[in-house]
This record gives sequence, C-alpha cells and structure tokens, in this order.
Amino acid sequence: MKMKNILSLAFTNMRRRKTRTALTTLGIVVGIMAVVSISALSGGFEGQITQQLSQGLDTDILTVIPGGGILGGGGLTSLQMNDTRLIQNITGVEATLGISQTGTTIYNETGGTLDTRLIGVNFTNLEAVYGHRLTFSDGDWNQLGANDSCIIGYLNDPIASAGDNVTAEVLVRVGFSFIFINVSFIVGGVLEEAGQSGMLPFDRSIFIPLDTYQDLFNTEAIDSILVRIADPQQADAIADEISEAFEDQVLVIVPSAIIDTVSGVFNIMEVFLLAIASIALLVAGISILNIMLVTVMERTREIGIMKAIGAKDRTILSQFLSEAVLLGVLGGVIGIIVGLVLAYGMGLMLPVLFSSFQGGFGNGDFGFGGGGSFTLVPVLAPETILIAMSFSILVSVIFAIYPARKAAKLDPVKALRYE
Amino acid sequence: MNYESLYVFVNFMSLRVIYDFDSPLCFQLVILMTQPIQADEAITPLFDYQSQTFKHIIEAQNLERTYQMGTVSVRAVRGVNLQVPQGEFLTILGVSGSGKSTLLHLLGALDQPTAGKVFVEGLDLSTLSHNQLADVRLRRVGFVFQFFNLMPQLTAQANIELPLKFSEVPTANAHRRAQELLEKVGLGDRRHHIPAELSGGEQQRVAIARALANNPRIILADEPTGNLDTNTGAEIIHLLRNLNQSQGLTFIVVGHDTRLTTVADRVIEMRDGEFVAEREGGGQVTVK
Repeated sequence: MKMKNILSLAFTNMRRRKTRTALTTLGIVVGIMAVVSISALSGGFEGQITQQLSQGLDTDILTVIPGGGILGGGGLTSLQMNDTRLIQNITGVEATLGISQTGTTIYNETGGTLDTRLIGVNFTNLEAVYGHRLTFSDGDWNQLGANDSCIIGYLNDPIASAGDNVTAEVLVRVGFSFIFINVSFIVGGVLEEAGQSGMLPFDRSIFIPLDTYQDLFNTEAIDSILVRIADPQQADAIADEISEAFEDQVLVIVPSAIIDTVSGVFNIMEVFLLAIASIALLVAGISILNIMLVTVMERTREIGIMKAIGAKDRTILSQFLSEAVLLGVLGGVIGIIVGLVLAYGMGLMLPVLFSSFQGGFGNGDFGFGGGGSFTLVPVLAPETILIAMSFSILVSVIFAIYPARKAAKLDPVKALRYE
Repeated sequence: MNYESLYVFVNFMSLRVIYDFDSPLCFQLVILMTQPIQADEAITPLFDYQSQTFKHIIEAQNLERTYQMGTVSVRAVRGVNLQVPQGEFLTILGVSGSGKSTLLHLLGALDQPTAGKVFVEGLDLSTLSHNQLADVRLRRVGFVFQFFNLMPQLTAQANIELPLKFSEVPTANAHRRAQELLEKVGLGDRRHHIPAELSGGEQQRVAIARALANNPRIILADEPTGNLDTNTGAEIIHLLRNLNQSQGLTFIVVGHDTRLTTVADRVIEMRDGEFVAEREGGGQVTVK
C-alpha cells in the first residue's frame, strides 16, 4: 500500500475520533511546549548574561595577578612595575597598565564625602590601555602631570570638578600601628560613565599617580597588571606566553574564558531543565501507548476485515505508526508555536519580576549592567526547532510500536469475530 | 546543524517500515530508522500468476482443523476432501457449528489447517509465507460475509478502493474500477455514502463489489443472505448467480438458506465437520 494512501486512511481515522486525537495531541503539545520554551528562554538568558559580562569584561584586556603554581599558591607574592616590561615585549601586546587599589573616603572643599576606591595608575599607561574608552566630562589628560593630580570617576552628582581640591583619607601602616592620614589632590579631570573593566571599576573611583600611591603606602609592589592585546582571538596564546615569561608564577585571567565558563554553566542548567521537560514528553508517550492500545482493541474487527481482504501485517503496522507520526507532527507544530509564545510572554514577565533585585544588583561598584534595564528576548535556534520536531515524532512512534505490532499480529479469523 | 537528527527526521517522514516480526524490538527500531524507501517492492507479484496449471480451481485434501478451547479440543473440520472445477457455483449447506465457515476460511487462506492441504489455482497454500497468503486473499479469492464487514469510516467507493490500494493500483485506475463495480452491483448513485447510511442489501452489494475489486476468479461467501430479509436475500443470490454465469467466476457459498440450492450447480451438506451428502443443485439462473 502506498504511503499516500496509508496517510489518507490515517487522517480519516483521526478525524473519526476528534476528541481523543485532540487530547492525545495535547500531551505532546505540553511536552514540546516545555522543551521549546525552556530552551528559548535559557538561550535568551544566556545571550543576555554573556553580553553583559563581555561589556564588563573587555575581551582585549588580560589581567595578570601574582600567584599561579598548580594550586594557585606558592607563586610570586607581588608584582612590580618593572614586570610590565617583560609583558610589553610579547608580540600582540599593545599596552600594559600596572595598578594598585584600596578603599578610601574622599572629602571635597565644601565638606561632601564619598566612600570609594583609591586607584594608583600611571596616567600615560591608563591612556594607552583605556584611552579609547575613557572620555572626560571635565578637564583632560593634559592636566594630569603633577604628583598630586587625580581623576575622579563618574558620579551622578560629581563631588568635584577640574581644578578643585579633594582630600583622601587613607589607612596606612607605620611600624606596628595603623593610622589614618589625609592626602590632598588636585582634580585634573572628571570621567564620563565608563562602567567596569575586569577588576578595575571606573565609576565612583579616584585615580592617582602610581608613584604617589606607592610612596603613600611605602611599597614597590602593585596589585595587578592589565594587558591590552591587539587581537582578542590570540588571548589564550598570549596568556600562555605571559605565564611562561613569569615561570608560571602569575595567574593570567582571560575574559573570554570567564564567559565560556558562564556559558558552560548555562548549558548545564539548560540540559538539566530539558531533562525535566522531557519527563512531560515521556508522559505524553505513555498516554499515546495507552490510547493506541485502546484504539487497537476498538478497531480489532476493522483490522480483521483489512486482513481478510488482503492487507499484509506490514500494512496494518504502518497504518498505526503513521497515525502516530501524524500525532507527533501535529503535537510538534502546535507545541513549538505555543512554546515560543510562552517564551516571549515570560520574556516580558520575568524582567518585571526581577526588577525588585535591581537595587542590590546594579548600583554597586561591581554591578553588572550598571542599573540599566533588564530585558529578555528568547532565542530559539532553527536546529532546536528541528530537534523538537523530531523528538515529538520519535516519542510518538516509539510508543506506538507496541500497539501497532499488536494490531499487525492479530489473527484475522478471531479479529473478524470480535464484537 | 545536526545532520544525524535531520536524517532520523527525514526517515520518519518517509516512514517505510520493512521489518521481520520475529526480530527484537530494538532491532526493528533501527531498521525503521535506517531502511531506505523501496519504491517497487510490493508492486511485483509475489508469484507468477499464469504459470500455475490446475485441474480444479480449489482443492482440499484430508483437511483438518482442530481448535483448542481451554482443555477441550474441538474438531471443526474433519478430513474434508473437495474438488471445485472452475466456474462452478457450489453451495455448502449446514447448521451453525457444522464447520462450514471454518472450511471457508481454510479455503480462502484466512486460516491454516491443522492437517491436510488446500490448493488454490493449483498453488499449495501450505508452502506459502505469511505475506504470500495475504496476497492470495488480496488477488485470488474474494470474501463476502454475513455481516458485510465493511470499513465503517469509509464510503462505498473507498471501501471498494481499499483492496485496490493494497495491491498498489494507481489512484485514478482504482477510482475508475470502483465506480464500474458499483455500477455493476447497481449502486452507482450511492458511492459517497458510508455503510451506516446504506441498507443491509446495499451494504452486501458493496461487499460483493469489494470482493471483485482485484479480479479474483474465486468468490467465497459466508451466509451472504443470513442478515437480510427474504426479498433482499433473493436479490443478492440472484446477483451472485448472475456474476457466476456472466463472468465465469467460481462461487463457494455456505449457509442454510435453501434458496442457495436452487441456483447452485452442486450442493454439499455438512454436519459436525464432515461432508454427509452431495447432490446436484437446482442450476436455476434466478430465484423467486
């Protein structure tokens, strides 16, 4: 019997039991809907998070910190400004920036205060590494020559403007005691909003010359070296070279590796959620099995008739299997559509629910997205649609095999007598 | 792009199930997923039609059929010998339980004997495979039943087309053939009615047309008038005899309607699974 004829008979049979067909399909629809909406939402969520991460983690900036060794311990105890030269020599490195930072409170001339980060940098190097990213709302690079000049990071309500004096209160160690001392700086520039790059927060920070910083704390050491590279694709290779140059006594943080790790976590989460969603598909499969068995029993006599007039076992088998395929296609198509609608609906709902976290999420020094609005656009890859569709059909067919075989193996004489 | 899932998907869409019933389920699944489409697999007849030579179009030798009903075995057919020449109208009379229906099923390859042999057009049924037996039912014999046994969801036309579709007759030809057959049994105007919308006599006419679909030379009828009123029954008997006379079709009709004997060429009486009497029939062309 030709496929076309088998399918048309299957259609006739499905139309005969509309309610039953609809309910069986519903089971598949729910399963596919769950799978599709979960993968669309987590796809969108992952895209959103990695995008925000890569905004914060510039992919062309590597961070070198002391440490390393197999377990991260036992490496160099500190880095020094001279170490940047080792890095500067590596091909692909464009500029380096040694930084040290600590917490401070600054006072302006009118008595306003701000708790912030005090960051020691070489301004020339800062411009070399981040010049493309930093713009001044007030003042410019040229006003930053002196030992006591500083840059104030972005604030909604700037604490000082170019030319003003600010006083930073820092805790330093003298012998065995800790004391607070006040240091005065002249503001050379005020930055526009610039977010964060790796461990370096630009907003709500005060940048002072590294030499001044080191004199203040009586140290030669720096916390970390930021390395700008020409091609982010080379990040891993350059990171390896840096490690080698320091005999593996430093740790090089590659931003894309962090994004990969986060992506990986999301993938694991997605697989886990999909595994849960597949339980719905399994249940749908079992309901197909159940309903098909009832259908076979109901149609025993018809199966007997078909065999008596010359249908082969295979014809009966493909008859029932093609009904299952049709159920799978129908359930799959509806499930994908409903799943997408659901995903878009939840994409609109979730940001509203999450908005209550915004306060604790975005406004801090290290917040992602800097308090910006959180949007979630579901992403569904074309192959996911194809896979969902094949899954829908696969589940329907697998669970129809037993009833279909049962129908095909019926004894025609007994089947004809069945009432 | 995941081509493996695409492959599985495409194969399911072209669902062509070639399988062996005794193989394990998982193996069948693999076959199901990997078997390519075989375009002309079923169109080729399973055996050559013309090459068989035979003296009797149907022959039974020492036919036995024993059923196991719990612990009791029932001998429904006990050592029946039968020769039917081509073109004969044979009536087998018997009360219910005499084994006549079982005999008919054995002759039509619907059931397999416990012992003995059946030859259809010279072909020994005991040598045929399961699928070949289905082909015998499809192309060589046509069944007519007491309860019509039409597919309830299909129209008269579609019921007749069904065996034509089983034998892979092209759609247009099947359509035309079904129409011709409906005209022949006098139901040209009832093509689009489903069985529930037809009277008993009309349903039986559709069933007869369906039995003729693939041009068999043998029609086996199991109490064809058993579920019809007197007049309609007479019309059906008349139709059967008419087909026998005009087309040279061989008829084996079982039942207890004595009017079947008036049109028959030969009458055999059956009791308790055995032939007990044989005589010439009335040989009439019409019944009252």
